[in-house]
Amino acid sequence: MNSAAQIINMLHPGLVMIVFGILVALLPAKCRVPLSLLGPAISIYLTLNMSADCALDYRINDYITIHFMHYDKLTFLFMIVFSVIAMCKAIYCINTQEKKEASMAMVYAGSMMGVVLAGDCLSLIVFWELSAVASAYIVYAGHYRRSYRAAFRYLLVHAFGGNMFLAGMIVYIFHYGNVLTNITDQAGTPMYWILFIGVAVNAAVPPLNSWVSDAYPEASVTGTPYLASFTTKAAIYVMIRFFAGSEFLIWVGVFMAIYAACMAIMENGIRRLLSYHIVSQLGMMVAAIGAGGEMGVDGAAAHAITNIFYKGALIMAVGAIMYATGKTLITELGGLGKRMPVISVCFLISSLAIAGLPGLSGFVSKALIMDALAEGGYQAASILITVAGVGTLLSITLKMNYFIFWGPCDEEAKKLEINKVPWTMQLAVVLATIASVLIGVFPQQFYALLPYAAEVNPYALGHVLEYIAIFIGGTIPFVIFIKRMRPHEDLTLDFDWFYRKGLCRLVMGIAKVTEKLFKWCEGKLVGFARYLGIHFSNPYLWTENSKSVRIRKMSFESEDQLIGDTISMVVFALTLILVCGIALII
Amino acid sequence: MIKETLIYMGIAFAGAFVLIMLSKFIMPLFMKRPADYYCAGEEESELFFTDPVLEAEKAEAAAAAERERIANLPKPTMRMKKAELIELAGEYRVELPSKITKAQIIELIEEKRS
Repeated sequence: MNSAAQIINMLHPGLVMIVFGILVALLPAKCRVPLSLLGPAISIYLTLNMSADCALDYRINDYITIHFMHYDKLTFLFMIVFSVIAMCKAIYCINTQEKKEASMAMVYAGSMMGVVLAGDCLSLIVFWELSAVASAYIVYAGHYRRSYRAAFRYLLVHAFGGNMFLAGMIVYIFHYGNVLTNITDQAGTPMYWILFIGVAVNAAVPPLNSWVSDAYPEASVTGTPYLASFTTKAAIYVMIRFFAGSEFLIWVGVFMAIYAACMAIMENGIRRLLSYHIVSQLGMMVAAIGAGGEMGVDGAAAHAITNIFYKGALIMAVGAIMYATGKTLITELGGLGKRMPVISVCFLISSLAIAGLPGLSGFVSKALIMDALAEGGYQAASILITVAGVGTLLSITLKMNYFIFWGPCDEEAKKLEINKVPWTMQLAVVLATIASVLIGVFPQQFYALLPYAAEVNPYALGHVLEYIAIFIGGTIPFVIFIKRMRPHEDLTLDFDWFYRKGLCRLVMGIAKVTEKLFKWCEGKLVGFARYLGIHFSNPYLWTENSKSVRIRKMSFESEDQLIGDTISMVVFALTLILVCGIALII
Repeated sequence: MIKETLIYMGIAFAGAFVLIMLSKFIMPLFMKRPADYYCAGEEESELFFTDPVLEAEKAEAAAAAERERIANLPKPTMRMKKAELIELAGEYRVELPSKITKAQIIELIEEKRS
């Protein structure tokens, strides 16, 4: 191997992104655009030239060495897609992003690449935690009061997830050492569950899903596309590494997919709707991971990759709509099909891709998931995933396209002022859409990149007819209920209620109970102190108020008062001596 | 093949029907809340910190609205009674001294109009 190849094999694409991110923060604002384009470009180059010999090790002592890089087909697949989508997002943000946000976005993308490239548990933990901090800043960079609050909640949720992950990892390292390996055979052990909860937070597994729909819509127009592409997909990557073949994940995935699809059908906010769809699509990936086997792993990885492109295009298109109109609710928009043609067409194509229309990327990756479930004999799960796919069709492909772009619109929507969308934003949306189309048109080339290079023909006539039938069957109820499909303007509760209201009420309740308890104790203590004070200052009360006749007879009143005084002095002196003695001993 | 296609169409139809029933009729019964459910009673200001650009825009908008309001008010004339002029000066938000003539009121209002 020549020296250039050796150097390339030592260069970590994620760290390169992080370094460029830091440079963006340190250098003048005019350097932002070239640096934010150069970072992903170098990352793509390094990933394409990476080989199995790549290594970047940091030796802490004789026993511990951190392996920052590891290469296999799964790593390569995620790395190349992360790099390409980072480039797309950099193009998207050329005209609109602020410097600090651009810097943190690059650090965030770099840390997620670090998670994917991690050769051992320690480097995985480091990049995992770094990504949480960087992504929290991106939410914060929305610069609205609600962004700050959402960022704080996001940080708390990820601190919980990160700590669970760290705790699980410590036990994992104790059992398995520092190497990453599948732990399905450890199902049921505390380590398995703690680690699973840590990963489940990032993979948005209900009831830990609501941070997605809470935080993503509150970031800036340029921040949300970054957030939507990395955290959850990296979590899917980690889940493939650790939990592939864990059967319970099939049902977890099915629940995720259907629950989030229902939430998306109800939702009015365009970015919240897409956030729910991230969860729904993740459900399909989780189900594939649960099915396990070569087909399951390929299905989950393929769907994560296609999802990055079509969901990226959808989120960027929605960002462009927000940029142009300043509106975020479906009920405030309408008739944009003719007024924003490029964005509308890209949105339509990507929404058809997410619903699995033959010829587009979603169809190609869903085929693997369905095959994985069918191979494992999980027919019920397969049908439920199909139903979740129909939910996607209803809420994005039909509802969003009809009410935002192509359907009739009211007078207010017609009067809506449309600002010109920068060409770079449109270019990024177009590039992500083209990637979706290319994957759909050349499925075999895409399958060859997958970890086990699945051999499936998605364009078998029967399979194509199935999806066309699903499209037709799903569209009919939409047409029947078309008036009811217009979203309501109210808020829909999600699991975040438990920490935004429930936890708040619990803490307030505990505070009230504690306050009452302290007041009660305080009252009793004061009463007791007063009692002691009164009785020590007037020892006659000990005998005179006593219920016992014998003691009352001992009353000092009839005797010399000095006796009582002396006794109380002696008691006081003894108490003082006792206290001083104890203090000295201590 | 046709049978399988029809089965899938049936699944999709039934699935869509169930999802619509769930999300449009059943789930809203216990999951729908007012839009300000989490931030009810809080101040309306969206921005956490004062944004000078936004503040300047707001001030400019308020000044424009005030100019428009004044432009729509009637012009003062000598034909008007003094009481009417004082009332009009109130609408123009002109402060009047206790002793003032009609001409002075008109002068002050014109000054405000300009």
